[in-house]
Amino acid sequence: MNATVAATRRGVPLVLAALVLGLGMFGLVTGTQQIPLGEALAATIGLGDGGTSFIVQQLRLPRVGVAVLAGACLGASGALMQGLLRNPLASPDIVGITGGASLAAVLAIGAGLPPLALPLAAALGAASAAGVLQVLSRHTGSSSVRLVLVGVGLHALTTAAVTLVVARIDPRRLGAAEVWLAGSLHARNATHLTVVLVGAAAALPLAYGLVRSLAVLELGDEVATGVGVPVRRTRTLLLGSSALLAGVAVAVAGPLGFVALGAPHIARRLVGPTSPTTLTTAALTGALLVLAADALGQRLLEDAAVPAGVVTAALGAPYLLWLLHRTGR
Amino acid sequence: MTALDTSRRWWVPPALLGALAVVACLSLAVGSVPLPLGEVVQAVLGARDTEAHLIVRDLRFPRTVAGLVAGACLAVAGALLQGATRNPLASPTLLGITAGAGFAVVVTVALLDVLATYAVVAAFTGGALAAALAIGLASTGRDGLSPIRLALSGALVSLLLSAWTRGILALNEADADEVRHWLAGSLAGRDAAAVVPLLPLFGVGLLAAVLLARPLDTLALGDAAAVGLGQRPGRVRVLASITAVALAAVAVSLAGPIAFLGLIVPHLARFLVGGRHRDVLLASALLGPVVLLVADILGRVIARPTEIQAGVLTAMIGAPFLIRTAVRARVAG
Repeated sequence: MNATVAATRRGVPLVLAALVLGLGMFGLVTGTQQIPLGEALAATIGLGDGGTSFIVQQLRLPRVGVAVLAGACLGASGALMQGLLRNPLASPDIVGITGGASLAAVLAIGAGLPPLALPLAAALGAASAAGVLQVLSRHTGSSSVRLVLVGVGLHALTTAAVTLVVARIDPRRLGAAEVWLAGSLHARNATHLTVVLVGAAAALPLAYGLVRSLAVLELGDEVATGVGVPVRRTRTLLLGSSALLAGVAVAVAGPLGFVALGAPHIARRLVGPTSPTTLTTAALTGALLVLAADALGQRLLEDAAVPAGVVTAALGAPYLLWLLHRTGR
Repeated sequence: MTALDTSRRWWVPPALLGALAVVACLSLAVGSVPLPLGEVVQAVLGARDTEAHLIVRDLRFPRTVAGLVAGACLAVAGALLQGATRNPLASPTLLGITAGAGFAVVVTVALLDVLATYAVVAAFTGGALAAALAIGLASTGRDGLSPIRLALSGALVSLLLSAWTRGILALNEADADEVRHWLAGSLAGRDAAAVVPLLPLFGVGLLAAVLLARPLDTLALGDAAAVGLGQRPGRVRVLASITAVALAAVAVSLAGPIAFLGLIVPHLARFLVGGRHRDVLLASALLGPVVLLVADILGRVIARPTEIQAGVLTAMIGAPFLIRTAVRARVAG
């Protein structure tokens, strides 16, 4: 890699961060009521008249903040998972972690638990799914095949269970369950923001702590053992932190499809194989994807808001086709 | 398995046929309205205009036929796909075919509001495109079409398509209830008008499967051997896949995306009758309806007065089976 390329690659996260910042400010400014940027920024720290402060602090800032942090967590989670499984098609949604979170959340909605319990239930569900994965695939050795297959089965099982719960849910709560399952950023409040802030603050440093070991692990188990990386423990930690990151995101935003798959792909394309820079780029790409999907979803139809999860998933299929086309040549 | 072993299993198809007859009778007799067995028998034999007659003739009989057809379709489709790809995990569910067909049906029914009769065309198109996408994605890697890549890419395609389906439902609340029920894979509410138009396609699909049995046996020897024996493996694979997608489309338009039936039944069939495709296909065609009807009957009974969709129960059985296979087997990656 020559010096110019290296410099360009170091610049990528900066550009992405600027884009996230710009799109975030756009989210603060626009909506049913336009607020000038200066006033909006002043309102975030409590300066400004009551109405503006309410809109910015209670409605838009939590929404934008949750979008950025949930997207970042998903991007980082996918990067860890794809590295761990040495497979660019893997992601926490496919191996059942998101499914576990969805099941727990739908159960919480069905049981009529207060809204605050929902993120906790989802995080717990993600953790349980990761635990099941870890236990069932513990004798895998160097191959991650078993983990993937167990995960695909786990995903199917949780999906069926979600269907079962949704089919028998109290009709008055059905709407809430549907919207949550589609992955929405609608009506996020300060509690959601706090949950995702705490979760991201705990999980992202863990991911950065593991990323160097992950880069070594990708060279093969023998190499990793040779340079003193404890393979088994690192794998467990990687699975755990990937699940934690996904769980935090799903807890506050529902299962936002495709972000955890696509963001690391794009990141590798931009800055190359696993490194702290790739992790940062994946996280920023995830944040950008979710922000853009939410902004798009709010404006796509005149009479209804499209949940952000529907937009991200809708982006997924053409991306896969494009991927197919590129590698097919 | 040697010829001697298989010849000892001559009793399996008749036994399965017997089981199928028993289960079909149960499916006529069991439901949310409890009917004495005598009345059911009378209703079948032609006592007119009793309540039992109406229930059995208009509700349970079409439902049972739908279960027979859908179960056979999915099981045979799974057996064909496993033979064509020589991949023990290939099945309509894991290749994304059921999700693609389901998505296409939701789009045509919810958005375009066309007749449900044409749903099978949409289901075929959607299923074929989804399978093509999944197989295409799985073949992109350096190591080619491995079981693991196929499972992952199929899961990925299913995941994205079900997210699209969910999005459409979230935006069309008016149609959502009925469609949601169907999407869970249910035999409830099938009437004769839904079943009869699909029977010719069902017949053609089964016939094609029978004709493909020998070529698939040859294919099982490996591509090189198959070419040596004068076969064109690519053509057999394409024909088997098309037949499988058509059969799965029939099943999905009848019963919704029933999960995992096409994965487990061929495995059970091979366990019972050995590896020859003629036997596996026959046993699958008999065993598939048995499993689906049992799931359907259980779904009617365990949560009275409401019903649990058969597809939920097949997934509850099938997913642990997949996990068990993954934990036990040595799958080449």
